[in-house]
Amino acid sequence: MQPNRITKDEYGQSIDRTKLLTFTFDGQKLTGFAGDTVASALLANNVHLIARSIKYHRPRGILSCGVEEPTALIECARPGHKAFPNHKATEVMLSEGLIVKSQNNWPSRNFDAIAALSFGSRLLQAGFYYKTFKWPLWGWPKLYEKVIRKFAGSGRIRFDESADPNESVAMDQRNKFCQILIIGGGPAGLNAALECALQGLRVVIIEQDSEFGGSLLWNKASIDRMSTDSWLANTLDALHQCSNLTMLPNTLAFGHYDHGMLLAYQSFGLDEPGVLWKIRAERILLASGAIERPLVFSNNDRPGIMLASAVRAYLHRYAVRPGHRAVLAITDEKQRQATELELADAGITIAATVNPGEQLIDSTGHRRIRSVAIKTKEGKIVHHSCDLVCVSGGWTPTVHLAAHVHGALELNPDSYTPYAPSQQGCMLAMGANRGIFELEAVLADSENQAKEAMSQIGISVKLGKSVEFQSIQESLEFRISNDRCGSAFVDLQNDVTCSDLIQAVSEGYSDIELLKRYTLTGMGTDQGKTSWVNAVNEIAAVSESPATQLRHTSFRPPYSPVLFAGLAGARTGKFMTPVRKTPLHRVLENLGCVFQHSGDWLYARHFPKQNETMEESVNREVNAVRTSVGFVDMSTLGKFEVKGPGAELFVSRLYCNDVSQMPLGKVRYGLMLREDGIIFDDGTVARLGDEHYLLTATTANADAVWRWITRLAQIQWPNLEVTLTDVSEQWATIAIAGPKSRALLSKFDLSVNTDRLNFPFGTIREGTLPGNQKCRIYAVSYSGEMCFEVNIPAGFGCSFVERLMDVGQEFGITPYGIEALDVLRIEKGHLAVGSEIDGRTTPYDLGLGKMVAKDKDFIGQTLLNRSGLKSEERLQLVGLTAINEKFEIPAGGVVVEQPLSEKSQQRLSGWLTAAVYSPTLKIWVALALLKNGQNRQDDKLWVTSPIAGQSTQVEVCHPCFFDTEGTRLHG
Amino acid sequence: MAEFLNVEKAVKDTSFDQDGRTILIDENQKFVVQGQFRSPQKLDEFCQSILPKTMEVGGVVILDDTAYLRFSPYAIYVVSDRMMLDDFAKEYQNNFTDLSHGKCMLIIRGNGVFDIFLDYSAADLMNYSGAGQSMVKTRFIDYEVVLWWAANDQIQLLIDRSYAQSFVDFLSSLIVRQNLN
Repeated sequence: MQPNRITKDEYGQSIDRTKLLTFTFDGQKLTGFAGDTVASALLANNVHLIARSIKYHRPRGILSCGVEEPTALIECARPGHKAFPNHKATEVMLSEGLIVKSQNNWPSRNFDAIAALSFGSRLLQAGFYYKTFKWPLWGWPKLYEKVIRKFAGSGRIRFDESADPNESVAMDQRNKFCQILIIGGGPAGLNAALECALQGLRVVIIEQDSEFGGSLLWNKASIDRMSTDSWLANTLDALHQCSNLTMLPNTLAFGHYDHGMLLAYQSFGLDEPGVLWKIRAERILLASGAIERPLVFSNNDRPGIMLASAVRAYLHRYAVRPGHRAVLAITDEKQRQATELELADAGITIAATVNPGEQLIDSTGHRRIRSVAIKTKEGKIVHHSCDLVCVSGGWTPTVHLAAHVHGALELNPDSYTPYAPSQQGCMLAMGANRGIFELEAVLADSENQAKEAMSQIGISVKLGKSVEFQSIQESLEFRISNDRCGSAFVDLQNDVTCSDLIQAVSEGYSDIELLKRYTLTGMGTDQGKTSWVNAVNEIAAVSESPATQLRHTSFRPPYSPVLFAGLAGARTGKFMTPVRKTPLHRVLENLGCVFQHSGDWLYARHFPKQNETMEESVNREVNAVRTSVGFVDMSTLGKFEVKGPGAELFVSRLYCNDVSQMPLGKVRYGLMLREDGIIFDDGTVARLGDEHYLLTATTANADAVWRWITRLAQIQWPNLEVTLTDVSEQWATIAIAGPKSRALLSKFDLSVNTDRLNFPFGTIREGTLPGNQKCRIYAVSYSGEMCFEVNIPAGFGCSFVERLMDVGQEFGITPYGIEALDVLRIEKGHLAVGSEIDGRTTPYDLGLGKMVAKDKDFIGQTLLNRSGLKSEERLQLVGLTAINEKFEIPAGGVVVEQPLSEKSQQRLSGWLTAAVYSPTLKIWVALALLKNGQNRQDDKLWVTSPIAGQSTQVEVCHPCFFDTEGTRLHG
Repeated sequence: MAEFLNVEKAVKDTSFDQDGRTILIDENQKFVVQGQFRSPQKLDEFCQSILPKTMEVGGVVILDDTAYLRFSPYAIYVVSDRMMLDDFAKEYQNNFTDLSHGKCMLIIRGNGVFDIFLDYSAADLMNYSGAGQSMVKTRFIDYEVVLWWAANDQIQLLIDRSYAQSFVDFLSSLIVRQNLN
């Protein structure tokens, strides 16, 4: 049933033979066991050809047994669900009914028509696209891109017939805190975890594999005269008893950031959403081990050529025999001997072993390795038939995470193998990450580094003697074959060959970062795990410069691919961002409001009646405000209380206009500048008491203004006796605007005298509503009509509006939204943040120069007086009206001197900040920033929008179109 | 005109009963005032005058029906069943502002609620979990909250009123997912 499965019980510690699982691969029904990965199950079923390579579509099999797998990329799906590509077969755990498909082939993986590309491989070398598809000019968008898109990429998201195309999976994102975080559950990590956990520290250990043990799961040696199996079992037992220790299997640490923060993604297979962990630790111990390097020789990519450690892992962990007749090409003698013994024990015939001085130079076979050619010391070529080649060119420490934050790695001058420094920031490396590979030394080093980490966070431990750096001597001559006659791949995932590197160097790409991008070496999901050291050695050999001078490229997160869904976590759909609702939300909803998202807020946009378009409802709302009375929800405004003996001086310094010596109950418009003299925000300043002011800020800038004023109080003016409180959320604000607003307000039993004499424009009154509830009422206006902004405690907002609608019925009260408010303010020429206050304009630009106080200090005063900010050539606020009343002024248009024809080019004179049809004036009006605008009254210009394909002739006028005397404000 | 103002809750009460586990999220309408001081010493003096003892940042003191939460060196929340402003000496009147309507107080009860906050809060709650009450001002996912708790099955929190319903919706979705897991 599974022809390559070993039946002996001593093999297969990771699988449960009592749980048989069925799955399909390219439609073929196969079986495996619980605990199998897809890779081990395929090998057990004697399936070696897994996918086709990305560029040449060459047959590719399984190289490794873990995260470093560069070639066995597959598409996986649960029945009835979407299929996702680019899973590594070595990482996906087998589950019942799993649907697995090979990638990158057409029509099938066995007969891939696109593999014909490999015949032209000499033409398709590095830089082929850049050199070939640059002419003719029309060729790229119309032809090349379309054709190349069909072949490019690696896998596609597919839908099973029964899959829901709208299916979405919300992943999870959680935080974890610990004193010691250990990355890697091999011997070094486990030993360090035990050391720290026994001291009572909060420890987290993460392991990307489904099982803890690392190399001990396949490297059957001894520790302290104890078998590695026993040592592992005892250590895990001890760890499981530590309640202060968290063990996270199946967890990939993929990003290391400042101050001990690490991102890790924990997978629960395809059936359950994964968790992205944000782990913050006082110290991080890096025990991520090392990755075995393949050998570079001609045709070194055939299915059946595998890393030696991977073959041993498949034997011991999964009871899978990946071949029956093997050739061994392993640099390290001890490892070679151990592999020979273990393969023989498992019943695999050793066809040949490549000894020091000999070279593996070529292979034959198509969908699987058939034979290899070995060059002997004497220079003789000997061929050996085989179905498995175990290769090992040495070990590359997994140092990506060590390089994410600080970048600097140490390099072995002989082999260019990068090592992590003993400590960088709060990360301490240990074992193989520091170049220590002998098991006993690894354990001693992990103990020392764990104690060092603990002592650094204040735990009293006796430090041991540090373990000396033990670099393995690696023979370059043995690792890379000099006799290459076919494609010798240095990067199996990106199909980068030695020839590509040679060509790139010959074309002058000597910088390692450029070389990487030109050839694609170390890119993609591989991220150089199996390719980088071999590539750099090849480059060094070709460029005849020492590998250490080449440095290394920047390592960046993620170390290995992470699902986008994992990065989003639960922030999907309606939970994408928090939603803020005003205190009036419920009652506005009942009134038929259409809401609009802006930032986090849900604004009342407009209130359409039956069958009304937005334009119709906005015009109706505007007319109601101009002729009768309306109300709008202004609760989103920022509101800040300033109290204390220093309040007056604080407020005076904050605004550029004079707000000092205001009588109690007075409100003034306030203009806040940045330090560079540019307008930051506008709002109102109200004096509620001798040492008590209430400021308002625009909704868009509310948070920024709050941060700014608290910064000023705490840092700039710490000696001013003021306290600041953000009361934005405390008050619901209902602006009642229109000629009948005062009459309507008088219908409420307010403790405030609302007649014109006692409550004129530009004042604020505190009082009570029936029920003795506090209220604050401003007589200010944004719409240009007489207006009262009623502030009441937020919880009463809805019932107040319900009452307002009842009482206002006799006046024809109309709720209006932000769209109508915008029309009203444009008619009146009032400013808006983001439109006229755009981070570039000064008070002079906006016609507010007279407001700027001459005899006081305020923020922005010095830099506002720069001559450049007073130049007449600056853009200045003007009004524009369409000369032909029937013509629309296109929103977003630019202002030019002459109509813009198709081929003419003109200098820009300005641009529109707002344009609307005025239902009051029955014409199109616009606000614009125009060069020297204040001196161009009555000039005739053009507003053009190439996007809308419109040009309209306009006349320059004052930006206030309506009630220029301001009589309506006073009622 | 008759009295017409009724207080409206910021959130709908929510409960879950899954897998034998009940979790309740209730809004508790309390009076909340915020005290803001120019120096930590001034706030210490205030605490001495009322409690009477000083409070560390992150400290919680429950006195009768009133909770004092010192969430910063300069600021304190006083959460009570009655309006506390008049109880404070005149010299402190300027330091306090009524935020009863701006802050929404939620009580989350049920087995395992602390674990939910442990997983999703930006602060390390275990650092604050000592004997008695603990409090912390932190972020829960994207929501700024002030949390305090005495036991692992009940968390109390203050959140801005405008965010409250959105927060409850998000928290509910997380609770459901935890139950499913």
